[in-house]
Amino acid sequence: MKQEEFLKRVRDALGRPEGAPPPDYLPLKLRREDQRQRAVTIEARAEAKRAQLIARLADVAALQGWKVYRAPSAQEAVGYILALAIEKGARSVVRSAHPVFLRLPLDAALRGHGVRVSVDAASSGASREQLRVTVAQADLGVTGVDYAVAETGSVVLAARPGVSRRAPLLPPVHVAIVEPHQVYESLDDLFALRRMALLEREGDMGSYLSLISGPSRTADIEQTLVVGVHGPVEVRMVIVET
Amino acid sequence: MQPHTQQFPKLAAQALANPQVQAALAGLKTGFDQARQHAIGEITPEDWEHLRDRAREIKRHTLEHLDSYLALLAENVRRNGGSVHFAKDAQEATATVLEIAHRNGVKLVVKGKSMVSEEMALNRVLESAGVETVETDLGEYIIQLAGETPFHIVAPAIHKSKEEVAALFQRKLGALERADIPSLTRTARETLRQKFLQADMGISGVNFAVAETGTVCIVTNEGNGRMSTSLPRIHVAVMGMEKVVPALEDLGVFYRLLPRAATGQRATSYFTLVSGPRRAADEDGPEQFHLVILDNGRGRLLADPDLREALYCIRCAACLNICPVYRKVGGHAYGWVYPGPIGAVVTPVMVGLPKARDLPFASTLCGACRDVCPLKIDIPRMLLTLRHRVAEGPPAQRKASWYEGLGFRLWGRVMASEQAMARARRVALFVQRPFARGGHIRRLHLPPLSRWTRKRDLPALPERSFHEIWEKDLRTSPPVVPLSQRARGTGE
Repeated sequence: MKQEEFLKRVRDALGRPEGAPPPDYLPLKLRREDQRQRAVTIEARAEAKRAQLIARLADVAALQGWKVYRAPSAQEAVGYILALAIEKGARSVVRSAHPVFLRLPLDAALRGHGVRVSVDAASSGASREQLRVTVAQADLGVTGVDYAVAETGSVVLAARPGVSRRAPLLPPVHVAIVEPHQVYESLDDLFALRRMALLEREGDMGSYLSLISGPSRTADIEQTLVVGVHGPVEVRMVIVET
Repeated sequence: MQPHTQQFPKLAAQALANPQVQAALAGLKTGFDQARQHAIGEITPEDWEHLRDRAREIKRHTLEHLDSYLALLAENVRRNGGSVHFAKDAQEATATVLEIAHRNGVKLVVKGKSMVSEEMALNRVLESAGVETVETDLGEYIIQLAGETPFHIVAPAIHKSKEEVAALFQRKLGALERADIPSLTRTARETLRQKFLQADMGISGVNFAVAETGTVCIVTNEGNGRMSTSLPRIHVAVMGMEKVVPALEDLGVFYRLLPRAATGQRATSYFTLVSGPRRAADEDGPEQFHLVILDNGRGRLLADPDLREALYCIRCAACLNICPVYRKVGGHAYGWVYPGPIGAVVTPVMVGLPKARDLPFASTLCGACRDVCPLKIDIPRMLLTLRHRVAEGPPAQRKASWYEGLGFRLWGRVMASEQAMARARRVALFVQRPFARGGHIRRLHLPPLSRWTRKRDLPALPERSFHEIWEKDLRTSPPVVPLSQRARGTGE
């Protein structure tokens, strides 16, 4: 059915004439400057209580089923992930091309222990099909994040060049690396910041935003909780407190 | 899906006689409903009430301007590089999906959980057109293998025991090493992982669609939603037209309500926001994104001021888990896609009241559904509205038999007159004498009265009425003027 025809049926159901005035809805009316002001306020608030937010994130994330490690330094974060890879007997690790890895010498540490490291990004030179197979067979997926939300114990990843949808999804273990400046208080903060990003990018907020708040889980058989039905069986959150 | 809503009494009786269904249903109160209460307890009652009121207000506003917001949503989905298809009924929607599949040479479809796709009977249509279609939510996968329909909106296979699931997997998937729940889940994981990687098309439902950004949002715990929307080269999302919300910010309200009300979680494992197909420089994701927006009877709810509120529903199933009727008769008795209290409201409008006239009566009107509903939908009020329409409808559609109508007219006469009531009492006391034992009438043999005592005892009339006890033994103040002697209009 044509859009116009469909919308006319809706208008008829509502008893609204064609060309009725557009709805007046406050959250839609915030223009770029106002939204920027809100974003600035949110950033300032998060900055002011960063330590508290990180502690809250760690607590709630643990309740949500993450294993949380608060790393005092980048070096210790690398050590933790390396130990995890060894513990899991991982032979192949994939990671995203997130800038956090410029600060975390993970590749060298893993390779030094004979673990194959692949970057799930076209910039690595591998073909798309190769990458897909590599990720599907990897033992560990390590990614940076764009945001972390203390309220829900979530990490948030926006898909873009260098950050695939599959790297945190297909391997049985996902390690999310969180940096302090990415931690925000609430879902409201997150959506306000995303709206800011949208206004700055001429209406394109990117194709995919994923909030991850624990391991894949189900209770579909006899209401019994089982983790790891489709996505990662185990999720680890490494908060790098530098 | 073909409704068999006319069979409610028969299907309900079957469920009542099935001990396994009863055992599964008994777990809903201790499982989902307790988890819900616990999760709500984590935030202050004021905050919870504030969220509910905000959500209601957003829904009210959005539906009032639904045409505008659907137009805005469509515009932004297209701007993101996706296609939008409008469908007035299930048939049109299914034809649209089938056409997309054919045009792209699709052989294998993986599906996330979607109640709208159940309305469309999408699996059956795709399968009969030669497109293999696999449900990937564990519960949906189980009922697909069993050839059944969802028993519950959130947990579709809640009525099956692990032994049944094991036998089903054994039969359909071959040898099983172990039959415990984690092993069964692992079997499903391994089987479905291959399907995800091979599929050409992923179909998902939509929990919320954000008009200002052209984004569809999918709430899941298993991760099958992420798989279905990330791995295949085509993503088709199907949504009922009421799922639109105006602004990104509105998600903060709804994503706090839905997981808590549905499964008692502060957040589900995954909340996935899809805004069109992959961009050229993205690493992965579908090349095509299609959004199918469906009416299928929702327009009738929208046009009906008494029932429009039913479109506020976010399908959390909290009303199912609390309902004393659902928790006895289960999901299949309702005979269509949406069971429980909310199903008893929307189904009669969507499939037609004459076909589903038993459903509005499948309620005790206790009001628990309204109390737990995160949107505070006044389900009992709407059930009464529908009962009224059944009672006042054309005689052929009425539920009541001629003797029920006659009985109630007589009852009304008797109740309106003190003398008539006293006389009726004396007659009834005489008539019940052979049947009453120990204050109860256990069995009446004469239909239609025997239907009452088939499942319950009827309290016998006591020898002395309250009125008599009061007058003779209890009264300390002067008598009041009898009802019949008072002036009209002050008698209440």
